[in-house]
Formats: sequence, C-alpha cells, structure tokens
Amino acid sequence: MKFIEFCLMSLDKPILGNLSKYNYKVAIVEGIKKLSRANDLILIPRITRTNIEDLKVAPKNMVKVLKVRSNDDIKDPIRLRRIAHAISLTSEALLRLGRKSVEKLYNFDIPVELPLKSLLDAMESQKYLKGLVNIIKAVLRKNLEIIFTACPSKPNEVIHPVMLISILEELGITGTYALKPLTLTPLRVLRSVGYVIHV
Amino acid sequence: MFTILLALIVASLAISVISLIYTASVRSKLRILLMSIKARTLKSYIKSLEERKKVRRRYLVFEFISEESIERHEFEELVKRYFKELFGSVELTKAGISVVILDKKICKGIIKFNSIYRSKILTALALLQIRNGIIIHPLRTTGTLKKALRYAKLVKK
Repeated sequence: MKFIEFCLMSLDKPILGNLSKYNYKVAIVEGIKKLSRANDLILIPRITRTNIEDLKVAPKNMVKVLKVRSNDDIKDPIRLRRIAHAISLTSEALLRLGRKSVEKLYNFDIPVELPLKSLLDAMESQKYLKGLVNIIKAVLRKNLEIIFTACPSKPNEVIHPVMLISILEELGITGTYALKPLTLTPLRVLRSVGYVIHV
Repeated sequence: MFTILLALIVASLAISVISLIYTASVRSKLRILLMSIKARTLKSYIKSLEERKKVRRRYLVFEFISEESIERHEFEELVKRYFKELFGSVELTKAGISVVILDKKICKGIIKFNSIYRSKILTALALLQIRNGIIIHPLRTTGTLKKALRYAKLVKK
C-alpha cells in the first residue's frame, strides 16, 4: 500500500529518501511553487496560513491549508470550504475546539489535518484535550475526515506509516478509520485541488 | 333466537380481534426483550473470550539509524522510559518489553513483547524517534524468535 505525506516542511535528501523507503508515493511540500518529482515521489505545492485572506490570493495549483487556533477561526464554514482545501489544528485548537465547531466541520465536509507535533505539544500540557476528544468522537460517529501527518522537517521526524497508524489506534481510531487518514483522505483533498493521482 | 346467535358471533369475533392485537403487541415486546438479552449475552460472551485469550509473545524486527553508538541495555531503557511516559508503569509491567538483540553492524534489532501491546510499543518507538533522533524502521512482527532472526538476516535460512 502507498501512503501520502500531507505536510513536508523541508526538501532535504535524507527526508525524501526516508519517505520513499517507507512506501510514500506523494508528498505535499510547504514552500515549493509547482509540481515536481524526486526520489520516486510526487511533490505537490502547499501553502499554510493563519489568515484566510492570504489563502484567497494563493495560486490555484497549491493545496491551501488554514491553521486553526480557536473556535473563532471556523466561524464561517461556507467561506472556509470555498477557499481552503483543509484545516490544520494547532495544539491550542486541540485543547479548546468545541463540539459545535467540530459539528460545523463535518456538516460542511471540511477535512481536518492533525499534525503529530501539535498532538505531542498538546499532550505535554497535561490538560484535558477537549478538541481532540470531540474530533475522535466525530471521526467514529459522523465520519469526519482527518489527515494524520508527522510534518517532518528533519530526517528523524519522518515516522513510518505503521507507527502513525498505531498512534491513531492508541487514540481510539481503529481499523479502516486509522488507515484512511494516511491514504484516502489526502488523496481526496488532492483531487479537490485538481491532481488526479492513482495510488 | 336469531338475535342471540348474532350477538354471540359478534362477541366472539370482537374477543378474537382483541386477543390478536394483544398477542401481536406482546410478541413484539417479547422479541425486543429476547434480542436485548441476546445482544447482552453475546457481548459478555465476547468479553469473556477476549479475557480468556492467551497472551502470546511477539517479536518486532526493526532497523535503526543512530548517529551515536548505542548499547542494547541503553536502547531497552529508552524504550521503557517512553513507554512508561505514555502509558504508565502498570502497562509497562504487563507489556513485558525486552530488547533481545541489537546488532550495531547491520543496524537491526529485535524487541520482545506481549502480543496485545504491539500498537503501544510502536507508539513508544515513534516518540523515541522524535525525541532522541534514533530513526526506527519497523520491518516485521513475528511469533517466534527463529523467524525474527531470519527476517533480521542474523541467521542464514
């Protein structure tokens, strides 16, 4: 099975080498401007911003991701759906995101990116992760689509997909629900941008 | 005479209709009750089966890349430390983690653990990779040490 890395922060050779070794086929890279290929990987440009206005002016071929910190960032889901392809949750969002905001996400079919870094940061605070709990519930009950990624910027941050799946299993997302965030959901986002890739 | 007969027939018909309706309603209630009992018993049966399930040993073959040289006991300590950080000491004692082999020449190792803790071990290894910079590539999980050694290519076929 081939996997998709939804957030790659650097284009270092060891990182790309590790990705292709771990059966990744596509990597969505922050900072590049057009589609390219390297190390048997398809590299797709991505832009991440905290302000939705910045995403509006970004080129059409880029995967547009909005960084969400609080409930206020998802106030207008219709506009969000029109501009951004997915939203990325920060550690603050994992702590605070309420039930109604999560409801908006699955009602308007907005995919949610869950970076491993923000998950670990949120876990370090040793507080009740209200947002994470609400999201897991929504994934299991309402089919909210999530994308799980390690967001590697160093070679040691490239995590094997089997390990990522096991982390999801430990969070309570098991079976096909754990496999989808690394394969089908990122692929669906890419198709919504206009990239037809067969994995 | 005729009126009495007619009244009797009507009364019997009414009684039969009422009894039919009553049995139908009771039947549906009974069915629901039986189904719930079945679901409950089935659940408890599955739970008891899971509890009875024999905990088997598993061997995880992995490849590692480390900038600094690392000894077997050091690696085991690291794995246990991160496992404990994530899941606590109770789970650590149940998991039965031990690093059987850590070959620095071919950069491969084998971890032994109880079968139900596979995903927990992998989560701990992911945390170890992020925090300590030791890149870990899980290759295969096997049921016997013999097979694990074969996959790690530490023993010829």
